[in-house]
Amino acid sequence: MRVSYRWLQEYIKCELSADELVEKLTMAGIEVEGVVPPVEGLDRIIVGKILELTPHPNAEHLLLCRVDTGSDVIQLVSGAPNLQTGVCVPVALPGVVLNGGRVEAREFRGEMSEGLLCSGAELGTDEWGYGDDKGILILDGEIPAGTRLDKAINLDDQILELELTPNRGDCQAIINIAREVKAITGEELYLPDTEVVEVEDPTANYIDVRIQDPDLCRRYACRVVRNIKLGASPSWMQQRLLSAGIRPINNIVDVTNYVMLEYGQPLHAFDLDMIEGSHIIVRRGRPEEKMVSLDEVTRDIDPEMLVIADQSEAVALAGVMGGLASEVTEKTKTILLESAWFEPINVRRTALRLGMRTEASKRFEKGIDPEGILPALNRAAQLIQQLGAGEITAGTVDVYMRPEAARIIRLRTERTNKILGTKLSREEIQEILDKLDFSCELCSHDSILVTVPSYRVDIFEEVDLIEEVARIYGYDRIPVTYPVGVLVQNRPCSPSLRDRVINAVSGFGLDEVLTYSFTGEGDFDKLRIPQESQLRNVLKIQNPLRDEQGVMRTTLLPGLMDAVMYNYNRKLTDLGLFEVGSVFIPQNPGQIPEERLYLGIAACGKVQVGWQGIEEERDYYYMKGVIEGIFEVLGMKDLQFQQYTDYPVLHPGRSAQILYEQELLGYLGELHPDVLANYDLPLRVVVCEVDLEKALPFSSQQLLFKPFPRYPGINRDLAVIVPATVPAVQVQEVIFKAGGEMLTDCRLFDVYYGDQVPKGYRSLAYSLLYQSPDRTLTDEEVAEVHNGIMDALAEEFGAHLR
Amino acid sequence: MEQKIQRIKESALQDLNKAGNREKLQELRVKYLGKKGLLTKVLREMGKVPKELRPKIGQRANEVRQLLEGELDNRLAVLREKEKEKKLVEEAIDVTLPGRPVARGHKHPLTLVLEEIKDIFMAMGFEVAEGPEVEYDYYNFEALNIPKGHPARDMQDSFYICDEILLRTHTSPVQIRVLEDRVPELPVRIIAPGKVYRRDDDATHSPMFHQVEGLLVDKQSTLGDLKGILLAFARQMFGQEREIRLRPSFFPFTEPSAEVDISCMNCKGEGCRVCSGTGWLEVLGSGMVHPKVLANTGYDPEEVVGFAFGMGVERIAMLKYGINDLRLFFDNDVRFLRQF
Repeated sequence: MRVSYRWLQEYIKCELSADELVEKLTMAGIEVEGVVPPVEGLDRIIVGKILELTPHPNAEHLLLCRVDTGSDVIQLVSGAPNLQTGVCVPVALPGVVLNGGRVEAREFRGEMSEGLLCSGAELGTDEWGYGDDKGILILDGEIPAGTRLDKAINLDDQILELELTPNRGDCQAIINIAREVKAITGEELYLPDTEVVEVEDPTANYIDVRIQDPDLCRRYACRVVRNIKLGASPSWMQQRLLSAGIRPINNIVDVTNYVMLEYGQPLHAFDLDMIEGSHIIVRRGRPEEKMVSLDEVTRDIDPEMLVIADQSEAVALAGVMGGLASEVTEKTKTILLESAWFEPINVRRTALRLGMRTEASKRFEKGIDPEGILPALNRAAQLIQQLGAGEITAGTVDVYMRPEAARIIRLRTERTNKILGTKLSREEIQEILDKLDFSCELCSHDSILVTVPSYRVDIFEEVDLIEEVARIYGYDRIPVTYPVGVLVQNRPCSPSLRDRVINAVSGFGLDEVLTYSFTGEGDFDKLRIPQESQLRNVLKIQNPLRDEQGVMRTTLLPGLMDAVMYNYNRKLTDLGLFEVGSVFIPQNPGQIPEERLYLGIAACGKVQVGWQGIEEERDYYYMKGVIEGIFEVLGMKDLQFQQYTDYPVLHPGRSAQILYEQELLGYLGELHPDVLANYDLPLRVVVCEVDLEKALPFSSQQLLFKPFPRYPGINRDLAVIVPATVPAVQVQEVIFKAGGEMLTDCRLFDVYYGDQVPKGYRSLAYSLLYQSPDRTLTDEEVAEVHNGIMDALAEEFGAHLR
Repeated sequence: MEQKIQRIKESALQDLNKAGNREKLQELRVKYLGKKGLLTKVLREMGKVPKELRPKIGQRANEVRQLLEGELDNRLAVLREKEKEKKLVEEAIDVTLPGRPVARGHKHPLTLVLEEIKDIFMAMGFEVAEGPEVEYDYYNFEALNIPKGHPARDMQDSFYICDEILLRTHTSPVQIRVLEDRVPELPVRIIAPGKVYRRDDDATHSPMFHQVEGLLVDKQSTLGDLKGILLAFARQMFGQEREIRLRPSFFPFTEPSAEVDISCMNCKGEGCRVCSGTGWLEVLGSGMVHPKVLANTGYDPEEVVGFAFGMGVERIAMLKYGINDLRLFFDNDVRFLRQF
């Protein structure tokens, strides 16, 4: 809502500067986004008086103008045909920015021009009534040279740009903003009088109104204006419309818009001769009904939309837009002026469905004052009559189906103070309500019976009044206090699983990313996720911004790959990226999905270990180490990794499923070369995904201390040659089984293929620790067990010592 | 005899002064004080000394012996010190060469800010609660006093799954879920961080972003208490010299409602580019829980009161770290991520 401060001051004597008023309005809940002039830049233009005009010595069509600028006399060069000695003209001096360009002193064919004379088009004042197509803007009358142009032509107004909250529909009316200013400043209010001079010709002879659907239209009032003289509205009215951002059209339409801005009541003018049968019927749309609206678009009307119809067809979409057929034109002789109340939600629905949010619908959908319908209608009739645009017939036709009962609300002093934390007395509260023109009647010692003015359609209950009290009293005057209450009985939150995982993974040197929760089905193809995979059972968004964001993710991989690609495309290739976030698993239709917390990791390139060129590859084993580390932090050791050969996303030879106590937690592995090719990525990328919800029960197990051995252990190394196809984990299992209780640790420290190892075999070297909790072991005992292990390996795998 | 001792002493002291290393010192110890050392030899010749002179000579010899032992020890200590110093000098390295990198990962700046917000409120007795990101219309709108057709729905353009299910547009539905869950328990003090979604994508809007919701419901609590909690938060988050300002506003689920501004940390409230010259930065929406919301969840609005607030985490992070572009949060450029 754009409000001219000058216009506002017509209704309220307010001497505050615009900035002061803005501050006060903002602190009372009417937020002002900014204060702007009606036309930008006029304050930098000055009025100059042309003292002398001489032909340019070197150019036929140019003139040299000697211009008095108040402080100086300068020479300007102009080619305009309408200049005369003695007139006042707008001058832009060097340095002024005009239409995005900077005015400079420059030479025209050897003569200096120390600035520019401006036309209305250049200044943007044409539509405000200053300027025409004849050339430079010639200002009327004698204006002292050097005067600021905006002051000289009365465009030094300030427009307040209000950012209204949805509840304050009433403030889409200048008189109601004036009422707010009154409440804040205590200044006196002057409302326009709405007396109408009528001709003796009853309105009822012209029109008859029937409301068929009173649930959607509680009141419909109209007047008739005859002998219409269509023309332009006066410039003061045009300027006020322009200040609000509305384009002037003709005197009739301008009056309806003017009154809408003034009273917040949208009005509509019909050409009465186009209303068949002189009947107005307010009804719901009919199946297949169509109407061409004022903007010349054929609109499909559905049976939920409210229309204004004549005997045969719809002539307006109630509260949204009029029909083209009954538009007021040059030929119009008689008009019907409508002022009505339409149901907000229905107007909003119609406007949204037809994609036409109009100034009218914006007001109706926030609720208008049913008691304000006649004053607004009369005000419009009065203005039309005063402008000489027509004659007002006698009386209004007013069908008021559901008159509003006065809203009377009981406001308790104690309740007010309980919510605000104030110590206001009943009298102080009443004083505040008085300022807002809420009428008060004291009832019990604590309470006030408050009658709400009909235009305050946002006030229904006690707490609404408490808010009114608070905002006029001033939020800044409410004392700062601190809540009092029982202490927390249970620890508010131990670190959540999410926090623990993020701490662990970032601690291992990876960088956390955040990616969108939506993805595109195309990503599944790129990742080679099989058609039959559960991951393709996705929750679809009805109205996505774009197809690539059309479904809720079931895997973190697409987002992680986007992050990898973003960095790769910027030559950042050493990456360890992780995300902890939800995936969405559809349930039955009409049910919200199951959200499961996942950890996803994608890594590629190298990890720098030292600056002397020591680097480590981010490969399968890197990822496996990270995962083991994470689960160790969660108190879960002894994860199992099973070769995972049949998932098309992953490299069949370099991938594994991750299990813990038989529960499948996730997978890790290198991306399949075909997936990398789909991304056009010449790097190997190793990824992992873990369902953290599955890990949760294990991770929250109670941690118990285990005493460590007090007797020294004995270390023995063991290097065995086994067939290369035997997984290391099986060798280790045999070692532990044969080692018995005495073997407390077994650590692989070397894997070797080469000279001393036959083809098809490999050498595995382990460091074994023998230890007993209750005594120091002897070399002999250890040797016996150690030999036992070698025998077992020989038997199981045909292993022999290296 | 005495003269002999005197000569030994002098020559020994001379040798000592010349001795440049520990080996030499050991040689001297043997030469003079060893079993076959010069001084020892002299003492062995005591028999040749007249009886009456023996005590005096003996004493003299012992004095010299003690003197030499003392000198030897001193000398040894000096040499040790010198050797140590030499070694330290030799072992010097170029301390300006880079250190061996430790694998340091980085949490996302939004995670860091969320952690800080959680810490602040947990210390004030709030618990952390969570709710689903894909939510029923009832929880996201209806129960929060935003019925269908309410103009407030315009403030939040939504992604829909079907008519009744949408991506939550704010974290406020967690208020409803927690209250429904806890009724009639008091007090309820929670904060609810999480992702929210709105159908907006431009330089200053992301279709996904993060909010933290706060809620306190108890037998007593006032708009003044809300001011207190938010002032404490603003100061812990942005510095002790911050002030806050509450402006009346409108949210369907709170009344009275307030926008909360904090004094600009860039210009200390004087007005600058960051705060568009106003000296204030809008960071929070808040208000007293609407009686209808309490009633919807089973609490009696006559018996309990409460306040709620909500903030955008991206906004807080941008102010805190001086980040000027919202898109940086979701581009995941490691040059950005590795700064935090």
